[in-house]
Amino acid sequence: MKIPIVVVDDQETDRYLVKRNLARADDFDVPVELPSGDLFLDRFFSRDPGDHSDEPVLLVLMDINMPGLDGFETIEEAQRRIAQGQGPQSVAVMMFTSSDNAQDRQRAEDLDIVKGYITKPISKENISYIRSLYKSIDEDE
Amino acid sequence: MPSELEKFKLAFTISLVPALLVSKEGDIILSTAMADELFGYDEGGLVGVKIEKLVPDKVRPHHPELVNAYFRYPSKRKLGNDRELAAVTQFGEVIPVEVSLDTVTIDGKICALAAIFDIRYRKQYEDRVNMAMDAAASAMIMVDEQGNIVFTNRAAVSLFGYEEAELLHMPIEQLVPREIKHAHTVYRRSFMEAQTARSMGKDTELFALHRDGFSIPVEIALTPVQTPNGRMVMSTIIDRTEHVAAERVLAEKSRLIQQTNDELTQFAYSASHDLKAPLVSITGLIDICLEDLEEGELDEVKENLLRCQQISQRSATKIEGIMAIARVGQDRVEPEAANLKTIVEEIWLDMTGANKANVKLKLELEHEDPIVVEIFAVKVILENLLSNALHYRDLKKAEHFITVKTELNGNNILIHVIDNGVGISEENQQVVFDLFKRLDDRSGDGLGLALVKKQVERLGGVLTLDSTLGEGTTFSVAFPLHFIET
Repeated sequence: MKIPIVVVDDQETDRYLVKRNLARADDFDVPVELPSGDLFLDRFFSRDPGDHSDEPVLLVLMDINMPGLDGFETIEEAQRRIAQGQGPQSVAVMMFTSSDNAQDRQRAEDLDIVKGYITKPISKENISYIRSLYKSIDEDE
Repeated sequence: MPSELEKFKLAFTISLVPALLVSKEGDIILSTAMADELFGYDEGGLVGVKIEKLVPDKVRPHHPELVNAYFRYPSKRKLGNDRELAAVTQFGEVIPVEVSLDTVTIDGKICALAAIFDIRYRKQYEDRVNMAMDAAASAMIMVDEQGNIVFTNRAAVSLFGYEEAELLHMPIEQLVPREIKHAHTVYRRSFMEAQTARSMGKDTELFALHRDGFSIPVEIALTPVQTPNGRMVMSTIIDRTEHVAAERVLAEKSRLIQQTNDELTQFAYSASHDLKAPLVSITGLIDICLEDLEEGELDEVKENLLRCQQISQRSATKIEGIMAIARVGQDRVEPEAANLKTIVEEIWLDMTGANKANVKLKLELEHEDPIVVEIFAVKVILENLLSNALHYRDLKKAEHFITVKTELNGNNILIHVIDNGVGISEENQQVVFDLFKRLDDRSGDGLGLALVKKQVERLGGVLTLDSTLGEGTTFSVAFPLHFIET
């Protein structure tokens, strides 16, 4: 099975770059693209409360600077919804941003479901990090 | 047995005080040697002289009446204590004096016994002290045990706006702001008891009350003084008005520096996202292009190069926009007479053009054109506000209105741009003016309102926002108008 992945980014170009780079690595699915935090929450975290622990790991690349909910606000809301059982239990988010700002890195570290911080553009090293992260979580399940 | 007069003569001979014995008719009956000397007469020369001869010209004509009045209600009293009293010598020299008066009955006749004190030296000393006090930059006020003013210097007169004569005998509480008058009385009494020097207003804000009713920020030092007339308090009052004004200017300056600092921090943060992002995208696209080139995917290469081109162009425009904001306020611009109505109409025409968008513009102008303003700044403000109003129209509504309304308020003009668009949530109202802030997909670069805000500040004005989500938004700009001298 290929690795499923979601890209949340308002910039079409940046989503395209992720898609192209992942395509080069054979073991990733074509990413699910979402242009805003709101649409991401609608798609994955708006279900009836219940036990979703049997679902596969949701692997997400999350942009920070977006109109509407920014990346951090989206994650905070997702965490609230996870606690209420409205989405998958196993979520691994990597911040995906052009900013190498210390303030942003600190904020990312303080969020439970954030497992990494990747600065754009995405590189081969980033991709192997994402792959090993996914595998380590998937094996735990 | 010697007569009573003989006894007095003897006493007068040995007296070391200038003294006179005066009859009811105002004739000098006896004088001491000291009195003769004081008034410049030979020994015994004063006897038989009319007492009014020894008073200054001004008083002389009605002095007999004063003598009469005294004998009508005779008593022991001291003259010259509360007002200036002077005597005149045989040679016309005027001497400041104090006089102690009492009556005696000699051989059945009532007489006045007057002891005269030459206070020239004391006066000179007092004048010197007063001159020194008057020369002091700080106001000085001395109060007695009852809290009445007994001394003040020139600085006090000018600080409090009262005449010296008005200040003297005034209760000190009249110079204290109303809200602490009562407490002041209590403090004053306890200070009189304690009698140790201290200062007021060093750590707390202290105010004194001017004659015209306004408060003066002051600092006060209190010193207890023992005088022959009892315990007194000398207070030295330092006017802190200029100090307080300077402090305020300093605080304002440091607030501005802080604000600039915050803006800079905010800018650095935004730059790390908003300015870096397009470059990072271009780098990513070029990496892909290089790989595609190797593989001969020329169509893909072309498409991605076009993307690079677009992104660079957008970035250049964005940087122009940032520069426009940064430049606001740097160049001095002459205000000119302008027709606000024409400006609004021209902007509207440019924006809506031939394709008559389904938006109605209404003008409710209460000011009178022309107005004198910095035309460029006003244009930038109106362009951005109108373009936002147009851009954020509520597509769910059948009709779209934009109203430009003006009001005059003194020298200020108020311009409201009112729309029935989508509105701005309360949360977003806090950040809508922030640089690079994009609220949703319809937002541009997040520069427009930041620029409007800067331009309004440049005009010395205020920009406010009133909006209800789903109902519409009103942006209001108020700024002072200029006047051209004709």
